[in-house]
Amino acid sequence: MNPLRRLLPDTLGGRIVLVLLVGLMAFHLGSLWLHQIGTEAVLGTTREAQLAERLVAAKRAVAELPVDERDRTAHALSTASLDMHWTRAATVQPVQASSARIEALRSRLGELVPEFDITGLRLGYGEDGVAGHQLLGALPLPDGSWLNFSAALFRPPAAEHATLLSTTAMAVGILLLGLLVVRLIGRPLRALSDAADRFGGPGPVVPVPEEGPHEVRHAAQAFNRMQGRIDRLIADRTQALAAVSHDLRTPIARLRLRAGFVEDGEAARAIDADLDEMEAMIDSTLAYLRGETEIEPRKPADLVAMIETLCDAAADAGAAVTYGGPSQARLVCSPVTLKRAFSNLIDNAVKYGGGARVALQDEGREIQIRIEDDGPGIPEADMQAVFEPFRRLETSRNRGTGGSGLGLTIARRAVEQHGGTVQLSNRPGGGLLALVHLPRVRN
Amino acid sequence: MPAARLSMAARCRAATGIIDVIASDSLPQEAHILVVEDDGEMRALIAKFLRQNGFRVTGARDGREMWEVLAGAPVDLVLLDVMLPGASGLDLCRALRAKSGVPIIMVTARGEETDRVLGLELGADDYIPKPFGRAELLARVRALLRRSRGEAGDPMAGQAGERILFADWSLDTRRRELSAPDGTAVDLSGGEYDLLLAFCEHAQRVLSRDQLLDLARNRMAFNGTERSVDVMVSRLRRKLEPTDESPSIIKTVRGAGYMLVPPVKRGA
Repeated sequence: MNPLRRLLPDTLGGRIVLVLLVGLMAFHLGSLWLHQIGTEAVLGTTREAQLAERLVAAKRAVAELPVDERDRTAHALSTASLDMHWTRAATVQPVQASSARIEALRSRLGELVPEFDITGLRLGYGEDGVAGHQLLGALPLPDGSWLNFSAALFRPPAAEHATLLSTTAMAVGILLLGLLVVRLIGRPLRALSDAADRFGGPGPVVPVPEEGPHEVRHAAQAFNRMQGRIDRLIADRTQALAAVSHDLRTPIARLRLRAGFVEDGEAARAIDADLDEMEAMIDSTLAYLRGETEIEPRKPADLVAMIETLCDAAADAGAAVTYGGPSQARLVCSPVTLKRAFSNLIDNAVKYGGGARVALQDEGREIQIRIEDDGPGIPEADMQAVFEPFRRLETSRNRGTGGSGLGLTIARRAVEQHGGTVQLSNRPGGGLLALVHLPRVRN
Repeated sequence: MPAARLSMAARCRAATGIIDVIASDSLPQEAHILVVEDDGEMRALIAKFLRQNGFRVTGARDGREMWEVLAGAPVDLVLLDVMLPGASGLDLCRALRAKSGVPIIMVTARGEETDRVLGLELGADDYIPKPFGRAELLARVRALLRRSRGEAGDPMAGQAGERILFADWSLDTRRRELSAPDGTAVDLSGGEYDLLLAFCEHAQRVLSRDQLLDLARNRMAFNGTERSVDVMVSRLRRKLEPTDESPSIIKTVRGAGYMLVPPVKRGA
């Protein structure tokens, strides 16, 4: 991966903050620099003008005095920033290759104070430290003697601290601003992505609130329109499937009666068995479709009574189905929905595993139901696929057996509506285990 | 006693599927059944099937025809489809109940819980989900006719707002639901429900296995034997008396049968 990409923050908020931070910091430092330059220029000019004026004044004062008083007066006129001596010969020698800076300074001094006569002025930098910190010079007096001077050209060191401080304050400010921006832009975006995640899951379709900045609002509107279109599409298909399933009942009802007039008792029984199968398919299809739209009201129910009814009915029909566990287990649930789930899991075990052992364990916070069979189990790769609607495995498990392929789908959805899970696994000794966890929600 | 045995055997046979050769023992011949069904084929098939089993049948396509038939001849039972053109079966049921006490069986779509509950609330005596089996149709028609003639001596089910209370348990006859003293719904199979209802209608009386079989058969196709009555009672008891501490609801009377111990109240 691009190393630059790795440095880039992952979230939109992070990127906005980074752009803000880099951009505004550059802007801030740039303007600080420009400000500094400007201030220094003004300060420099002022200092240079001051220097020139003081030199002019000193020159005039010293030139008026008798020779033996000149050096003393020059000393007396000296300050911390400007040290002056009077000598007969110049202490500063004219430099052959004078630097451009010195020449510029010389002409500036002349321009700043017009009465300052810069002819014969010698200038140079002191050798004592870094170049530019001390300015040395000699000014010729009318009688050929010299007024020598050395001036400090220090820079204000406090500026460094101020820059650091203001830059830090700026960064903190940008970060706070960034967090605000992220909250403002990020929240509606997060709401949108949450809604996209929820879409297609259980529960009714919830439109995304259309708020936030224009682009996000626009995206939310587009999303809501798409959601509506998909919802209508599904509703249409569902209705079509439900209508077909529903309408099939009338011909089946007629066939059931007609079978009664068939002379051949064996044939009548076979027709009845076929009709039973068709009816079971229609029932499960309709139950599946109903589950999409209807939520059964919750009430406390005894799961054990429910499971016992199912086990007894299966046993009466000749299947080896047994129940083991406590004699009651209460749960606030949608009883018809949940009973269908258990019924489908037990039917599945009977159909493919030749029988079922159902066990229930009440663990207080949740109820666990195990449904075991001794059939061939399910290939590990298909463990999830069997929960898909209308999915039947192309293995020995379903050969010659009926069913709509909705049983496990309906069972899982019913259990998930209760906040629980259904897990299938092959038992070590052979056979399939369906494990249902149902949490008990305390109110 | 042997005569009773014989009749019992005949009933058992009837319920186990050999329906073509039924001696409709206690029923007078030619009970008149009105079939209200908009699908012509369906109506003809039901009529043919019921006639074959010894009933007199008249068909009606909709509400208007139904009223015409009812005005012209006495009817012993109405088989009323919920899905009808014009006035729905539910509306007809309500109107019919307001005018007469004729026994009504609603034909509802399977799985449509609301139709069933509403039908029973509006005064239907029983319901049968469509598509139904032949044995089921016949058993329900016979049971309702027998009940309506008061042979078993029990009151009509399906009276609006009916709720049977015993020892803090509650049995809702419209929804066919049993609730425990703490309000928990306790699931019952069809047979268990019929058996419990029979107990409730004869509370605190010892009922023999024969009698229980008879009573339960009056409700629906309870294709049992005396032995299966024992199994059913033990299943019912397991649900009514789940723990050792649970108060006794159904008592075994050695050599005589079973008895519902607590008194029964009827409530709304």
